[in-house]
Amino acid sequence: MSTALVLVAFFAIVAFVLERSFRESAEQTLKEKLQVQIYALLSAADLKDSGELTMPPNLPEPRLTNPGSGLYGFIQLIRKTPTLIWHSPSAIGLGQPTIPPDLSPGHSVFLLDDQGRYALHYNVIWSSRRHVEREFVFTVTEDIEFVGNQVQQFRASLSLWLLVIGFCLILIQFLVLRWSLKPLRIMVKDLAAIEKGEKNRLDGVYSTELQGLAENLNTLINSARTHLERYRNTLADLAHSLKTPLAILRGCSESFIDNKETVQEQINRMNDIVDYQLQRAAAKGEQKITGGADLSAVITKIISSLKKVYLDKHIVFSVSVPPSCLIYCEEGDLYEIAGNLLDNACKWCQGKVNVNISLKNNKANGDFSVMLQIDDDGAGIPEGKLREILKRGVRADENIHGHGIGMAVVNELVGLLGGKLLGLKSKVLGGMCWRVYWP
Amino acid sequence: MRILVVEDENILCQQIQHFFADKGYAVDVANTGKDGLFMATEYPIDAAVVDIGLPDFSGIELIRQLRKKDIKVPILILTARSRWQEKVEGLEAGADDYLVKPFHYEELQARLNALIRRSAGLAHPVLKFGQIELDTVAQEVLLGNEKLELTAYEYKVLEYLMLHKGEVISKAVLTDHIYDEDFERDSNVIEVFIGRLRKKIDPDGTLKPIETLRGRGYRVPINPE
Repeated sequence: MSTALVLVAFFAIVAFVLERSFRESAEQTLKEKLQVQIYALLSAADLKDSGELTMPPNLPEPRLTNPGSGLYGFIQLIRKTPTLIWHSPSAIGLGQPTIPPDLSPGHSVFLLDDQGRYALHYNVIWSSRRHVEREFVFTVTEDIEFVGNQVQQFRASLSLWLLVIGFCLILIQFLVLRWSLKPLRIMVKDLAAIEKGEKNRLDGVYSTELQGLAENLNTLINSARTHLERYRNTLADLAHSLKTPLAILRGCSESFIDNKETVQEQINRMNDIVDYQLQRAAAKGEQKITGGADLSAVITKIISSLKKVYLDKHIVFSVSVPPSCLIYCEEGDLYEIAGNLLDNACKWCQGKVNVNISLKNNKANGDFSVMLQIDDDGAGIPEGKLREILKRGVRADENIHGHGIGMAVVNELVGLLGGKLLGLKSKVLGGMCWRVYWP
Repeated sequence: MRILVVEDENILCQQIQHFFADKGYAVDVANTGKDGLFMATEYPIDAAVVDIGLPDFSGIELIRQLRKKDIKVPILILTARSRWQEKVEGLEAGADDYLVKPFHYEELQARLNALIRRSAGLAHPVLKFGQIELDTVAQEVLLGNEKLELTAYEYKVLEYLMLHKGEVISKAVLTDHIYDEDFERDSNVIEVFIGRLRKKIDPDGTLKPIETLRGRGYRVPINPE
C-alpha cells in the first residue's frame, strides 16, 4: 500500500515535469515557426524609394490570408509612436499588438502577450535606395490554442501511458514481493504448525537470509521447551519430596492422642494444596509445543487401569470412541481430564459407566469439534452443588470432598484449552453426566 | 499374610512395617529395587507394597521385572505423584492398585486385603465355612451371630487357610506366610495355634473346619461335611 502511494506521488511529479518540458519544447517550436514567418514577410515586403513599405496581395503562407485562422502578421512603423502600416488579411478586426519596450533594432522578442497570443516581434531598420531609413517592427502572432491543444493531447497521452506503466509496475511489484516473501510465508506456515503441535522445530528449506532467523527461532523454541520441562520437573520433585514427609507425619499422628484430629486436618489441607497447585502448574493448557494426543487411546488405557482398581464393583463399561481422536494439547492434560472424570464415574456409579466421543459439531454449544461424554448410574450431584463445583478452582481447601481437586483441575484445564465442561443429569443412566467440549 | 514393603524412606518403611505387624501380618522390607526384586522372588509373599520412587530403579521397573518372572502376587503401588498418566503407567506395568501419598493406613490395609482376597479368587470380603464367617475387612470371626475373640496370629492362620480352601497347606508354608524371615522355624507354635483355633471355632467338634493331613499339613475343606 505504502509502495503504491509512493508510486502515485512519483508519477505525479514525473507527469508535471514532462508536461512542463513538453510545453517549453512546443513554445520553442512555435518561436522557430514564427521566425520563419517573419523571414517570409521580410522577403515579401518592398520598401519604395519614398520610404513607403508595400506588401504583395498574395502572401506565401495561406493561413495569413484566412481571417481568424490563428496566425496573424503585423508591420508597424516606429516613429515617436508605433504606427500600424500593414496587417495580414487574417488579422481583420484585431487590435495593434503592443511592442515590448526593450526591443532594439536587429533583435527579436518572443512572448505571450496580454491578448492571449504568442507573439514574435522583430525590429529592423530598412534603408531605401535613396538612403531613406525607416524602422519597422514585424510581428507574427499565433493563438494560444496552438500550444494549448498540443499540451492537452500530450497530457492525455502521457496520463494513459503513466497509468498503464503504473499498473504494470504495481503488478510486477506485487509479483516480486510475493515471490521474494515466499520463504517468509513458508516460515509463518511452519510456525503455525509448531503452534498446533504438528512440528517440533522450523525444519523447512529457507532462503539464506532467513536461515539465521530460523536457527534463532529454533533455539528460542528449544529454550522455552527446556525451561518449561525444567519448571515442571522442579514442581514434580518438590511435590515428591513433600509427599513422603507428609506420609510420615500422617503415620506419626496416628499415635497422637490430644491433637490427632488437628494434625490430620492440617496434613490433609497441606496435601490438598500440594495436589492442587501441582496439577495446576503442571497443566500446560494452551501451550501446544510438543504435539497432540490421542483421546481415544488415553481413554482406553484409563478404562483398562480402572477395571483393575474397581474390580470388586464389576463395572460394565459401554465405550463408544473412534479409533483415533487427536486433541492438540499435552497428553498429560488429557490424562488428567479423562482420568478424573472416569475415576469419579467409577467411584460413584452403581455398576454402569458409558463413555462416548462425538466428533460432530454441536450447534447448541458453539463451535466444538470433539465432545467427550461420561455417564454413570450413580446418585448424581445436586444442581446447587454442581454449580458450586464448577465455579470453584481457586482454593483447593474449599473443595468438596470426593469431587474437589479433581473436578476443579478438570474445569480449569478444559477452560485453558479453550473448551467447556458441562455437568448435567444423565438421561441414559440416570446418574451424573459430564460433557467436555473441545474446540 | 506375608507382605513385602519396598520403600526407600526408612521412617515411612518402619511405620508401614509396624502398622502391619501390629495387625498381625508378617512384613518383609526392602529399601531398594534390587532388594525388593530378590525378596519378592525368594520369599513366599502374599502381596507387595511398592514405592515408585526407588533409588536404584523405579518401582514400575521392579513391577515389570516381577511380572516378567511370572510372579503374580498382587502389587499395590505407592506414589507421590498424583498425575493420572503415572498411575496408568504403573497399572499398565502390572500393578493391581495404587495409593497416593500421604495415605491413611486403614485405607492401605483395606486395599491390600482386597487385593489378597481377589488374588485368591474370592469376590466377597466375607469368607464362610458353615456357621463360621471371617470378615477380611473388619478382621473379625463370627460363629453364628457370636463374635469370637482370636489373637492376631490365630486370625492370620485361619484367614490364610480359609483363603486357600481345599488346598493342603504345610506347616512350613503356613509359617512362611504368618511370620517374617526372622522367625524361629523349628518352633511347634503353629500346632498350638491350630489346637486353640479348633477349640474356639468348633467347640463341639462337629463342624471340623480344619483337617489335619498327617505329614502333609492342614486343610479347610471346600464345604462342611
